[in-house]
This record gives sequence, C-alpha cells and structure tokens, in this order.
Amino acid sequence: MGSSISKMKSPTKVYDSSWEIIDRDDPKLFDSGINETEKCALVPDKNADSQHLDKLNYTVMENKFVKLSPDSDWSEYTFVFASVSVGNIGQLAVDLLISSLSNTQKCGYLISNLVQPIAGHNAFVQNSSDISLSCELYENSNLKLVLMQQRSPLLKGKRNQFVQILSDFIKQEKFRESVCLTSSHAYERLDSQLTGVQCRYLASDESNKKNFDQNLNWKILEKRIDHNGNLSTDQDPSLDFFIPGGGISQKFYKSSIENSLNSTVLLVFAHEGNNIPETLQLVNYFNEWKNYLIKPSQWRIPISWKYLFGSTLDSAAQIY
Amino acid sequence: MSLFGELQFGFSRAVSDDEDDEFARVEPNLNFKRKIQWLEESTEKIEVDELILADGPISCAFLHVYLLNHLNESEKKLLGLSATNSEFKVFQNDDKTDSELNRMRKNLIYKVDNLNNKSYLVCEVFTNLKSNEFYDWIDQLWERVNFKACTILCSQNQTSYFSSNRQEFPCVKYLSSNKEMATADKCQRLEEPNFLQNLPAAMIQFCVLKKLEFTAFVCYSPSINVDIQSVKETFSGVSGLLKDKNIFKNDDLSKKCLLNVGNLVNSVSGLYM
Repeated sequence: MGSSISKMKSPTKVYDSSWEIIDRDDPKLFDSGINETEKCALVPDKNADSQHLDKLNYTVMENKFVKLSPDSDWSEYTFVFASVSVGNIGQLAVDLLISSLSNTQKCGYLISNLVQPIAGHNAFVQNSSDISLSCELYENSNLKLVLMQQRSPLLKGKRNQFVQILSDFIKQEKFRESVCLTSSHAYERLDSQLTGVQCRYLASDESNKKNFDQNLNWKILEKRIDHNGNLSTDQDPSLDFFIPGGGISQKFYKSSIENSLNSTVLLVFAHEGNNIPETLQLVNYFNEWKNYLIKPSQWRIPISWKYLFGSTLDSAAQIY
Repeated sequence: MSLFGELQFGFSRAVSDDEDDEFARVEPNLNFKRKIQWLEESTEKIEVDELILADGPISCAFLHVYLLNHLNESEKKLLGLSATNSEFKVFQNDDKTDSELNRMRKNLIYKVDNLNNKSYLVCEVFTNLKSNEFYDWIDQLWERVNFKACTILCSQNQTSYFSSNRQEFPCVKYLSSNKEMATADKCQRLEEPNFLQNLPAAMIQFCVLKKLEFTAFVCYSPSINVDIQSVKETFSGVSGLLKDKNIFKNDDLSKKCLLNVGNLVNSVSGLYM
C-alpha cells in the first residue's frame, strides 16, 4: 500500500500524519488490491464492525425518560403524546395544549438515540435561556396531565424500539390512561369517511368506548382492507385498524392491547399543507372529552408556531 | 403523475410509508458507521477540561485558522482520527510517511494541554455525520475521554434562519447552558424558533444528560461552500462572546492561513465532488 501511494506523489515526513483513510475498492489509488496482513498495521477484524456495533447497543444516551423531580407521582395521571404524523398535526396539537393550559410546566425529557436530535431555546417562552430538546415532558398537576412533545422524527427503523420505551414508561409511571394524538392521510379515506366529522378514535378500554359512542357520539375508526388489499380476518384484530400516515399510533395501539394498557388514539384526516385548522379540530375533539378548556377560543397559539411557513418576506427585497 | 401518466400517491413531509417501516431493510450505506481510530490503546479514560467540537467545513476551517495553525507539534497531540466518509477505513503506512492523501479525508482529534491553563480535546468533523452515526460517535468519544465542558461550532445555510428582524449574513448565534451569558455585538442568542440539529444537537443532548456545561455557536452563512467571510465572522462572534476565555488567535499567521482556507477545504472535499 505504501509503495502504491508513493507512485502518486513523493512522500514528505510530517510529525505523525501517516494515518490514511483508504477506500480499498478505489481503482484510482491502487493498481492491485491491498494485502491487508502485510501492509496495514491497523486492519479492522472482519468481525470488528459487528463487535463494535454489539458493544454499542449499550449507549450512553440511555434511552429513558428523565424526570426533573424524580419523586413525582404520576399514577392516576393522563399521559398525552403526539405521534409524528401527516401534517405534524399531533405535534401541533400538543403544542396548543402546552401553551393553552395554564400551569403547564416542563417536568422532564427523553434523551434517546432513536430520535433525530434538535436543540434550541424554550419553544414557549420568548427570550428564555432554557434549552428545548427533541422529546420533552410537561406536567399540569391541576389537571393531572403529563404531555410529551416530540419535535423531530424517529430515525429510520426505530419505531418498534420507541414504542417499547413509551409502553415501558407508561407502565412504570402507572398512568391511568394514555392518549395518542395523530392524523391520517386524507387521500386514504374510505367512502364513508369523506363527509362528516373528520375525527375518529380507537380505544382499548371498554368504558371509554362506551362513553365515546353513547355520550359523545364519536365514530370509531372504521375497519378496512389493509394496504395489501386483504380484508383482515379474526387472526389479528388489530390489523382492522389501519392508520396510514399516522406514525407510531398504530403500533402503539397494538402494543397497548398486548400490554393491557388503557390507551386511546384520536386522529383527524388531513392532507399536507396548512394544518392549523385540522389541529384545532383535533384539540377541540379531545377537549369535548376532557373539558380542559371551557371555550375553544381559549386556545393560545405558541411562539413555536412563528414562521411555520418560513420567514416573512422582506418588503424591501427586490424580487424582480 | 409520473412520466407514464399513472397516478401516484402523495407523500407526507412528516412520515414515510408506515407499512414499509416494519419490514424495511436499513439501506446498506446506513450499516457503515464511522469508527474513531484511537492511536493508543488505553484502559484509562483521558481527562480534559473542555471538548471543542467543530462540525462542518466552516467550523473546521475556523478551528484550523485560529487555533490549530498556531500550535506546534509539541503543543498538540494527535489522539485519534476517523474517516470523512463512513465507508472508508483507517490504515497506516508501513513507513509512517506523509503524502497528499494523508491530509485528505480525515477528521482529526487532538489533545491540547495547557492552553489558558486548561486542557482541551479538539475534534474535527469535516463532513456531517449521517443520522445513524451521531450517537454512536458520541458513545465512542465518551468511552475514551472525560470532559467537563463543551464548546460546539457549527454552521447552517442562511435560508434555515427564521426571524422577522432584518439580518445581515453571515452572522453567528449562540446557545448556552450558562443562563447568565451576556450577548455580544457580533454574537446574539439563537432566537426562537431557530434550532440546531445533527451532531451539534446530539452533543447538546448528551451535555444535558450528563449535566455538562456547553456553549454552541452556529454561523449562518450565505454560501454553500466555505468562504472566508463566514470563517472570519465565526471568529468575531466566538471571540466577542467568550472574551477573556477566548483561546482563538487572530494575528498575521491567521490572516495568511485564512487566505488559503479554500485550498484547505477543497483538499478534503475535492474527491467527493
């Protein structure tokens, strides 16, 4: 390898810059293949990469929720979280809840290697020196409510792990119930969904189902042919409920049933675009059930929604 | 509509197709993760006061011009390196000589002792890591090195900066764990709803987890390549904010090196054009 390189340029001695990064398959660099054992002092073992990966299945990022007050008791609380879904509606809805419900304070976060990292200043308070991260928890002790806001998507292939972490967290904190706010592709609607109220629910708890059906007059998400064109049979009833564009909501619902968790999924059908109207639909739908706010007009737009569609145009700029 | 006229489903900016995810194979290039090659084996962790992480070409150029260029061989010790491309591996020449390639395609990690009475670990990450590499890279670093504080340097294109105020570019903003930090003329706080992402954000999350102090500087640049003005502006911002804690030098040597920054950058990135 050393002799091949010297064909390109006469080497000059520098203090210790002899380490090279080489593409073994690069035909520009080598006339022939490298004899790894003869030429290279540091050759990764053939199994080194897999060993390296195995070792790092443990991660310093821990993948667990951190509570700012470790002694907080959230049993009997409601846990509400957003699924990253079409139009980011779930996340917009959680933003609205956090900014509108008074006395909602940050109470924890999730540092995880499953979520794309982002960091900025506090998304709800202007000129704050607090730092906002990808996944944060907010508590409203008056309403016995914990909200999780997720500001960035999951890394590819990490949904199952993330759902597992969520389910473990819900079990560990003994939440009375959990609610997933999400959305679904409007272009995948069935004929019966094209008109009328655009919100639907799924509930693992029978008493909630009864309340939704009889008192609130809500519609359960209709059964449908799945994406492979099959009408599901009784083999796996959870496949009846198909939420295209709904992120982890379908997996989470399935996991809730398997783990006997009291979970509800609330969704609204939406196209991509300006999704503020659909977000208001969803939070009003949720508020019909929970009555957190007396009037829908009390929803407070958070500062994190500033520049949702980009900066304002500079009026002084000469476009043409 | 595709070229053949058939209707294609729209796609969401938020989610990929759900039904593919469960059975999706991770793309082959995502299996490759950059490994940090440490030059010396050690069972003990190296202790430094502060980590300086430069992410991206503007930050790495800044580091080279205003810090590394001023340090001689005895003042900085090469501890480790990684490839600028995750599919490449590390080899050493038998005769331990340098070549043009030696200056290319490497991210270097130096230990600098006794600078302003502190020790530093200086990490270059010239080409941005892929999303599956951020945390892996931090794991590798933390496995070998203990640091008590972190300075992060990064850059973004000006189009990703949101503000209702008129802003001249390039400009430098900061995000810090120090709530008392006073702004400087050339370095204002990163206003909402702007945010950092990728490795800088992953490092910030790590610092929050480990309760380490951090200050992150982001240069919003109008250029898609490295330009001298952005590197200079980064210096103005960083030195203005850090004041007496500033370890970066601006002298004749820096000015001379700054004029060659284009060559430095192209020597690393040219093979990927």
